[in-house]
Amino acid sequence: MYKIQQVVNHLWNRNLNFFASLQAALFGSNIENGGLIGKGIIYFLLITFAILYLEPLIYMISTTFKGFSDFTNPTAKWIPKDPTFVNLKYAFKQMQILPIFMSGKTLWENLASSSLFNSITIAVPSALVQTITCAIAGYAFARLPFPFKKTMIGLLILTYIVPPNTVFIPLAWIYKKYNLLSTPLVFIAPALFGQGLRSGIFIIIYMQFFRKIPKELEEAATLDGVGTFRLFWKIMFPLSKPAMITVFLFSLVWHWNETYLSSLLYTTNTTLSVQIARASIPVNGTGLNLQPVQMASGLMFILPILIIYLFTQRLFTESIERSGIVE
Amino acid sequence: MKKPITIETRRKIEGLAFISLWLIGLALFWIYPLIYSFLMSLNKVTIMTDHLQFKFIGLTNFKKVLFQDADIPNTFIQFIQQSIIIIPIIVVFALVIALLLNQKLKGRGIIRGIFFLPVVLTSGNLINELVGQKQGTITFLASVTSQNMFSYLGPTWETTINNILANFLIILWYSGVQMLILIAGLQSISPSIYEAAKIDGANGWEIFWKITLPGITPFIFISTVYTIVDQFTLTSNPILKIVNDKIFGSNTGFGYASAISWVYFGVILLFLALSFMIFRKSLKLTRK
Repeated sequence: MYKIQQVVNHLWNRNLNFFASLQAALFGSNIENGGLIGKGIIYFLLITFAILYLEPLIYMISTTFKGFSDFTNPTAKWIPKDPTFVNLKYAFKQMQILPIFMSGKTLWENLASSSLFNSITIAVPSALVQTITCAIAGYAFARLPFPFKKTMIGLLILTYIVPPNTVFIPLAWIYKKYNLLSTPLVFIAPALFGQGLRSGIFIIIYMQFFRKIPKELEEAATLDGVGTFRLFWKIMFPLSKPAMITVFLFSLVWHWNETYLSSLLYTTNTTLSVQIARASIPVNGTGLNLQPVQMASGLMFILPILIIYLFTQRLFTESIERSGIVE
Repeated sequence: MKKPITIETRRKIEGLAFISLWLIGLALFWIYPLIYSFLMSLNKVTIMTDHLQFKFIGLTNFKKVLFQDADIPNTFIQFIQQSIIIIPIIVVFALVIALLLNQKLKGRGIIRGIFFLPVVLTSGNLINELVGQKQGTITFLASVTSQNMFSYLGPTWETTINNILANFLIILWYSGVQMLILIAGLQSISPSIYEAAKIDGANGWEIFWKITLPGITPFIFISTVYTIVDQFTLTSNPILKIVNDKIFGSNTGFGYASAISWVYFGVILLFLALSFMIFRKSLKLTRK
């Protein structure tokens, strides 16, 4: 009798252990390492959301290659049965990606008839300029004393908050007066002075980054007789590489995607971001549907950014954490 | 005899030299246009061939915008209603994804990359086209809109809510940056606090409400501010469209458009002040 009791007890204990370990496996023994069920639920949620998130993009890619029959065929919803390039070809032509050369115009004027050229001449120089000028301002805000510094930081935040359209109307008039409309200068000139597209954010990113660099570094350099300007150019600016990458990438992408200002400031020529709306109306008789042409033009527009993102995805996502925009 | 320059004044001069570029830019590209546009809003501005003609009319433009215009007040009300709903949705969604991604998971980097992807794609016209092709929605939410579920809220709120449901996915697309801010915030909470809480016998639910949430409140605040500014500067925004239409309108012009812009800026400030009031208490608590 006693023996049976012992066996039962033993089994019970073992089962308890078993249940405990089962519970740990399923629900996790602590919060960070959630068990199988916890992880399962998290994966399920994340993957569901991720698929929902990507659906428009997948739709865009598949619709681009749909011909007239595929577009109306519900069985070819995601994968076109008869993939075709006609939409891409049509959109490519309509988006004025290639420049039209006309005699009697300067080379620049000829090239500026290409929307791709305009997008590139806006995005690349502006991003490069912002990377440098915002670093200079960010360094001053982070490390150097100057009069009314607190007020200036307040103004810096205000420049970020005030919507561009409030300051835009007089600026457009000034640009028009100096014949700057439809030139990339309307974006580069403000960027030169640290007032370009979303410069406020970029300066704050640099400011937070420079604040984290130990002060001893500067003190040592000053003791060695290095002036502030050389200290910045030779040491601090190169050190800020993570922040530089963040600012450059975001500036590039945001300038590329910019539609509001470029639709108003580019009056004679257009940029790609503006052109996708105008290009995507197929003329009657071409046998094309509106939706696939729209998606084709959209796909061409995002393709460069998508390729950049594929290769620099980690830089984008990790940069915000590393450069300390938060704090 | 000249006084030798002290190190402090020298540093100050150097500081001024560094900031001067930004200061000039501030004056040229921000303060000057800002004052100019404010003056415009108080005037009737006529475009002459080479200059602008000003005729002072006081607050008439503002009165017209707020009380006499046929569609501006309605557009504003709808936009404000929409923002009141959208902004918390974006922040909460970013918080949920950030909490899920803060776990030790395989493939975390890739999933994070997917959730951040829309940040590089959200360009005005592209979004308009996707919305136009009904790709901005989640299917089961779109079906809700056809059932008149929100008719008891009155016609304006009903259209607002149906609008939001019809574009729900695109709204979530605007949460990428906030998600990263919140992940960074979650990682700033030291693991030892969690361990101490566990030793004291707190469960996951309690830990979330007592430690995680208070710990990231400042980050939620930053995300909210970012969301507000982001939403108010979108190209697809109906008010910016009105401003553009009015700039070259025959009896409206620069003055009228500037007045709308200033009202709009006032609305943004209201939203920021509101979010600051909501977070003020908890921000103070965490600082202590």
